[in-house]
Amino acid sequence: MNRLLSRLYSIALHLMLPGDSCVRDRLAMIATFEDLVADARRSHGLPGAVAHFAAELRDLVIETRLRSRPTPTTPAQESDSMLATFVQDVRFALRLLRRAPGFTAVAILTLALGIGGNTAIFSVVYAVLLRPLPYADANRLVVVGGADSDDDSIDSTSPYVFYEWRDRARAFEPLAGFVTGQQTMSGRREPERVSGVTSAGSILEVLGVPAAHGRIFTASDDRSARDPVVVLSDAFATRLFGRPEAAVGQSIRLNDRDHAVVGVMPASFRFPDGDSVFWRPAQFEPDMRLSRTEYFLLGVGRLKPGVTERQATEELNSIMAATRRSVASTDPDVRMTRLRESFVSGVRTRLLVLLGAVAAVLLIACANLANLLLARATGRAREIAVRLAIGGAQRRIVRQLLTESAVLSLLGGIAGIALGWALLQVLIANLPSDVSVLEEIRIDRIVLAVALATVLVVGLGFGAAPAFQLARERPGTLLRTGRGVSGRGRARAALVVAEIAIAVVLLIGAGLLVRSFALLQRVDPGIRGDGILTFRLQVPQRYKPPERVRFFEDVVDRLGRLPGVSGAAIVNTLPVDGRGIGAWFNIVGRPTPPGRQPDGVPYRVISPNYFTLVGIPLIRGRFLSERDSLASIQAVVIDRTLANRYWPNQDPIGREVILGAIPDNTLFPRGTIVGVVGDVRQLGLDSDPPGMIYVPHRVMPFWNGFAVMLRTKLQPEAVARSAREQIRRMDPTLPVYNVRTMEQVLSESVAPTRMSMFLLAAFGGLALIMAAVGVYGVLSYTVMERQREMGIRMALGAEPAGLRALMLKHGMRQAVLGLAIGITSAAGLTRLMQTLLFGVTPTDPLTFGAVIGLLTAVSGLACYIPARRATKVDPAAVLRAD
Amino acid sequence: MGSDPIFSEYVSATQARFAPSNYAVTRYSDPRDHLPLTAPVFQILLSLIDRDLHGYAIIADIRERTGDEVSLTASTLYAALRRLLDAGLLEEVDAPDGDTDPRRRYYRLRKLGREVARLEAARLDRLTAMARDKHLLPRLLPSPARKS
Repeated sequence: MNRLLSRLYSIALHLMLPGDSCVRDRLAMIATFEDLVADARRSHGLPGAVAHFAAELRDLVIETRLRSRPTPTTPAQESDSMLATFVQDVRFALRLLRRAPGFTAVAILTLALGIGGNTAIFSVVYAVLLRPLPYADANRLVVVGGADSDDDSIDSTSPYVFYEWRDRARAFEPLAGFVTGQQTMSGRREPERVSGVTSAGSILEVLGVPAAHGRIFTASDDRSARDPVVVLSDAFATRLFGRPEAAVGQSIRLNDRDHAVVGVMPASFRFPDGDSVFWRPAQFEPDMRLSRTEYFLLGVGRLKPGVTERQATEELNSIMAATRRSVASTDPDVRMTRLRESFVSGVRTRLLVLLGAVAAVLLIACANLANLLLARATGRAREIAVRLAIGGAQRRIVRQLLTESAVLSLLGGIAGIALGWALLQVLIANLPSDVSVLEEIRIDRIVLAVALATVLVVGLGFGAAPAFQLARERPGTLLRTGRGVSGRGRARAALVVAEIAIAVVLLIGAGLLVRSFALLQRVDPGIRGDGILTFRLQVPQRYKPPERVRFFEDVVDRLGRLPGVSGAAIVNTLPVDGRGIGAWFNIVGRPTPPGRQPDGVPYRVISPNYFTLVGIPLIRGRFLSERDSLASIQAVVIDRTLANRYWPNQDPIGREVILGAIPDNTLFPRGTIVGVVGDVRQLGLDSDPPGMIYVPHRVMPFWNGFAVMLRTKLQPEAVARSAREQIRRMDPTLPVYNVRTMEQVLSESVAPTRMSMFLLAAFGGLALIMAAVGVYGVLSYTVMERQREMGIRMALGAEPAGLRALMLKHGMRQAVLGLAIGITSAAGLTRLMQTLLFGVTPTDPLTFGAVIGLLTAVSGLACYIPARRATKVDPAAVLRAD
Repeated sequence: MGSDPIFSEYVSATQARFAPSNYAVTRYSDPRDHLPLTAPVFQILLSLIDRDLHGYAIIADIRERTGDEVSLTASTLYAALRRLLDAGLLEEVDAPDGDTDPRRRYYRLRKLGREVARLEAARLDRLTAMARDKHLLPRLLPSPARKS
């Protein structure tokens, strides 16, 4: 916040003390200002700092501009005289605003809401979609992988294929592979899990960011014969060794191997997101380096200057074709995208819809302000008329009116930027954590500049209409009638129609998201999530496969008997937490055609009691049992989706399947399907069940990390404590991490939908209120203007009810027109947010109907109140006044 | 406002900045022309009597001596400093070696400034003496210095 204030003060200084001759003055003032704000913040907190900022602005204006100057005497001081006029206009505008505190407050608040929302959302859009990535020449960086799935996603590839690409392709300056993952860091206090990047080649070389201390690792460090090395993030090195530079030359223990710390990255460096705290070369053993069946690497490359994505893709595809011929692999073609694209693809639509919404709110705010100013201008018609009549220059009057709206919008803009800053803090706290540039989101110079430019455009925009209209008036008419002539009523009506139309679009968008979210809440995830505590547990490599199985059986057994716990189970990936790992799915007796790859199917490795613990229902056959592993053929279970996909209208029970690459690289010899269970929405509540095969963990003894699930009625914290205690007794070096309740897991899976629903609903609500105020304001004004007419009508015997209906009809005509335009536009625009919706069509009749009803009711009310006032006119008083 | 000498001097100094010819010479060779001083200006001169200070240090010193009664903003301070520099009461000096913030600027009282501060103090002293004569304030105990 101090930095924001300092930036704002600096901008103010540039405005008030421009020119190169004042550079040193400005710098010294900013330095002093920063110290003073820090003082104020220490003694009075944030309000103190803001109050000091306000005092500085006041004094700056007093000292540099508002003290009057002597009249200019020489032509050289002409510009000074322009300035003097400007100063005069500003002072006049401030005086006017002070005289009408109600109007000023409403106007500033309206603007602040509009500008604030835009500033906050734009900061996010800028950081996520626009700001250059913090890597050298980031436009040439691409992500490379397989084009395996039907959507646009880039799939991981195998080490063998990756090294083929790297050694043969000429399109890249370097190419590196990477995989993110957690490792257990031991040897200091408690063992803990830390996230980082393991890289084939050197991802740091490709990104082109030098180390802040020591060195980065290079492709030559990536050899199995070399000693393990690691590069740490600034924050992580500071946490471990006190100072980042102290880390170089030390060593840390990751997954039971000592790694020499060779370097520390700058504090600003992040890849692929802020969670990663270390980067290390993979140093694959020779057999892993040649593996063609383990898919976990994504490539990141720097295109040589002049090489296009297309050329690079074609080159890699021809390498793939050669590889397929030489080693009879079935690997798919290559897919490539810019690094930034891969970071933001999931959030782009969401952000753009929000930006559109918040811009619409600003438009409504402008329309409202223009209306307010129009109404006020009419009130000032006599003042203007007198000035014109005694020879005031039109230009001068227009300039003064524009200055007034500029001052107003500047005040609203300052309030709006402060509000935007606050809103941004809320946003950051609630954004999904897979937004990789989360830490980069802030109000910086660019965001501030855009906000100020918006303020200026807005100020001129809503100020221009009334200013020009008034200045165009003929003094004679104005002086005679004391009010403006025709034409203005139509402008106001048009503004109201526009407001209502925009509000309709926003509300329909918000309504669709609310409906989606409500439907999501009612979706059956396929499990019973309440009362389940989960955490992850992983054993190190020194546990050999049979020990792993025994250890986890022990965990299930001992934790299941903890007081207050009614059962424990393990699974490699939690339900609803993503696709998890997959394998090639082969059906015995149904061979894959030559040259084709078998389908990939995700699998879950579980303890036999998993289904009963999480409440997945049995549909056919039986669940897994403890005795299954004793049989020679392994028992597996599939879900309904998989059964319907491969055995439509047949009984899958008893069929045999093989997971993995036949013949030499299968996960286990062969499995018999013994049961079909209910579907689980593994990819999140808004995605269809992917089809899943469940395998007992005894069949896959190499598996060394699981999520443990405990069913309990007690407080999760208490159960977590006793579980942790129990694990410590079994092996004190094992960290228990990612402790969550299953309800949290479920709620996190809908967090992005919830966030955009909440924001869009807030913007929609705001739009509704503003539009209602707009309708009300305009109709009240019309009533006031037509008071005389009303009085005469009543004097001639018009019924109050008739008059009410007349005014109501007048107001509702605009509302209906706005509704019609809004609904037509919404029907077209909501299609853009199709991907954000769940269970509703973009033209959901229920949502459209509800919004039409709501807006009709609200604008009806906004019209009725002034219409009723029309009948309260006392005819005698009106006629006497004439 | 026109009667405020410091202020009218500020106007001419500002004009000088805009004017093509540089006539921002110290027109006030007589220190008495600067009197009376505004409270902030007097306090700034007092702060600089015995050492060179940078902007924030001046504000902090004034706050401390006056118990927060006089609290300047950076905007006011620098406007005053500019006026005092233009009028030749202060000069800018190099930062001492220990200062790490290159943006800071240090100021020193010139002979004229010291004389103006002394004259202002004497003027204030005469004013309080009048107040004492009218028993608005208690009489000071006679001290050896006063006797002479």
